[in-house]
Amino acid sequence: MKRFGRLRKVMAVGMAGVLLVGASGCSDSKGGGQGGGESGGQEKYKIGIIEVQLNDESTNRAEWFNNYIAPQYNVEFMFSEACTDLNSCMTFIENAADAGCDGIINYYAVGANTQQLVELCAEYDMVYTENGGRNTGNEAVFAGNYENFAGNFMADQPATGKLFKDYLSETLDTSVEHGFIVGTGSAYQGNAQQTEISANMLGALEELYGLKFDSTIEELYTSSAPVNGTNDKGIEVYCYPGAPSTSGWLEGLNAAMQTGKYDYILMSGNVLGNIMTTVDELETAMNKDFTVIGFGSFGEALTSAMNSVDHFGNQALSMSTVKFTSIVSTMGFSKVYNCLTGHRDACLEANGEPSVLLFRMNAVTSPEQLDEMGSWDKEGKWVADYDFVDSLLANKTEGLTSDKAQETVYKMDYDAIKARLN
Amino acid sequence: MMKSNNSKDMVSRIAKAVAVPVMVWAIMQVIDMVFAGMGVINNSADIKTLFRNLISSLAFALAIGANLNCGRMDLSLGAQMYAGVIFGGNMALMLNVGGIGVLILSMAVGALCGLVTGFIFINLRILPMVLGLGMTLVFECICFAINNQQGVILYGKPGVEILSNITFIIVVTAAIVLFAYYFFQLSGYGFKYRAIQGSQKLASDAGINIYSNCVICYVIAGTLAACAGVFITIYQGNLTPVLGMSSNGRVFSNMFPMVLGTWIGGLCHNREGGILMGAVTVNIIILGLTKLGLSNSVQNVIIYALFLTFVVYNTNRSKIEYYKARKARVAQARKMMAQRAA
Repeated sequence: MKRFGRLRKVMAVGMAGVLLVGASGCSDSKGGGQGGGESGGQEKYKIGIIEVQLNDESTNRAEWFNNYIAPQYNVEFMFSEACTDLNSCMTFIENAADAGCDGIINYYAVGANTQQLVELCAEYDMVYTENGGRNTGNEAVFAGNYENFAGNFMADQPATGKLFKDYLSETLDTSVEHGFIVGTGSAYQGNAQQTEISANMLGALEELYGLKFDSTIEELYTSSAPVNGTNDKGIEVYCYPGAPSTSGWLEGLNAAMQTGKYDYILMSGNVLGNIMTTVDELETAMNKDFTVIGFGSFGEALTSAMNSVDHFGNQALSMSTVKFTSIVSTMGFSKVYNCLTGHRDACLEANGEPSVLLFRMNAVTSPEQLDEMGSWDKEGKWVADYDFVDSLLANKTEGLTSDKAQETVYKMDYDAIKARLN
Repeated sequence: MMKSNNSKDMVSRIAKAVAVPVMVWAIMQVIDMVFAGMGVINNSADIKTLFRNLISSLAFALAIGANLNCGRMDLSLGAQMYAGVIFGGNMALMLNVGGIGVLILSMAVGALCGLVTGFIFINLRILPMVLGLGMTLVFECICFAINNQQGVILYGKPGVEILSNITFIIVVTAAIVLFAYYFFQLSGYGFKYRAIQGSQKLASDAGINIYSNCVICYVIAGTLAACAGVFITIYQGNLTPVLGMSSNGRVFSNMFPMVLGTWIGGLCHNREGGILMGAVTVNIIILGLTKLGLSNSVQNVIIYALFLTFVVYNTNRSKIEYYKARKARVAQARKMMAQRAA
């Protein structure tokens, strides 16, 4: 009995340990960044950052904020763990307020939540910006003249879609018969990025073949069930929605590819790491060459896909897109910092409403190009350097307006970065 | 004469077990040929897909059954699978020990997760389902916290191709079935396990250590779940951690092969062989449905409707037999009355 009691004590300690480890995985904050020393007598600010997930990108972002930006601009950063709902965002904002934060940069952007979060930040006298666009869900915030709202920042989605369109225009030989599977991903749920990419891919096919779909392009990408894009030219186009996390999605893609009608796989979602094994196996089994074009992000999956050679000796992944985290982060930082330093005007459109700053993604088509880009945006080779950050800060750049800021961001394209970093 | 009867009996059992997947394949083949113009299995890629999905369903179904047969529903199996593959897989990749290393280390971590869960269960005596939910949250959070939330990526990693090799998958499938058959049916542990399955109280009174038996069950379940996870991951290319008990989906989606397999096992008097056939059957249905180009939601509706129909039938089988017997008795009584009247 005594032995059993001791065992219970050991178990209690063990359980506490397990729960502690578990709890640490779910805690709300993972501590602040490097406060840095006084930089030229600038006032010290503290900014809370709401992360939606922890991955290569968020780690990279934290490095840039903590090690590069914090000491230079005398700003301290406080990061959340993964916030995947409104409640966790609100809890983090309250914690950030308690910790003395002056502003919030939110990477978990849901239009319907924006007003509530802006109002919560206003209660604590904090500036707010988020990584999202202007849509029906948050229209009231943009029109509502909230003093603490600095506007939003996001990817220029039509430009991202155009990257795919341009690549297809340049490489597709329309004199040879081709069939296309267009992975529309979550476009049917309103995902802006996947909507634009899907729409542009379908638009490119219309343009290149001079065809007319029997349904509208919108009807094709908003379908939640697989649908044939029947058209007047008889080109085989199959719109395949969903994501690999759904049971049977990969098998469905596999079945569609096996029909033998399609040889181009165009994916709007970030699914490269999931589909390449299936593609490779089918190439071997069917002795058919598939061309894969898809949205991607810097990471192991993209590197593996781009560096792999298929059954026919071709590059397994023909084209993908990437973005530079530090450019996106600069946009969010500049919005909050400008408001904190009393230059909110630089965050407003000419009509007085908060602006949405846009950045453009880049296309990557070869392992060499990926290798080159992959070496950028790291310690010592930040794409967004102090000159770039300063050019978006109103206290460093006189007469800065929203339009000028947008112009500056657009100028930071692949060629400009390459010229500077190489 | 006796030997001949045994052989006939064995052939009859095997025929019953194989008949179910063969019939389902025949039905799906006809449907696919009529509506999609292609069969259920058309080339080597289909065979690979079928076998990879088969081994994951089989291992998961056996894992669920290990505890469920003794009245414990372990809902943390999905999370144990994630923990096993994410920890074991990353360790194996760091050690550069290839696909077999990924499988072994994942199963080892899965076993450890099962051990922790089982040990907590026998000491704290929390209801298995409640404990399962709690452990799910803990394992999910741990998986989420490590490796920058990346989980494990097997796509493009050197040495892991063996996990997609059909011969290797068949060898592992055979090893799992034989191990499970020996362990649960022939070994001393299996003897005690079945005694506990009959009555835990009587087994305990008879001197069987029901606690150690229970912990071993959890360890085996964790090992099998992690094994299933490795083959899921190699097919999907990666395994990303999930939160909010999403890992439970894996448990529920593998209930169908487990329940169907247990029924087939009853027909052929071999539970493990039955679960193998149950897994084959369900995966043939899934593969057949994907050929029809239906949306994932429609496929799931069909699969779960079939599952529900089967469960309803299986639960009410005795009633059907009762009504049949009653009908026969009534008919016989009427016949006798008619004879008497005549």
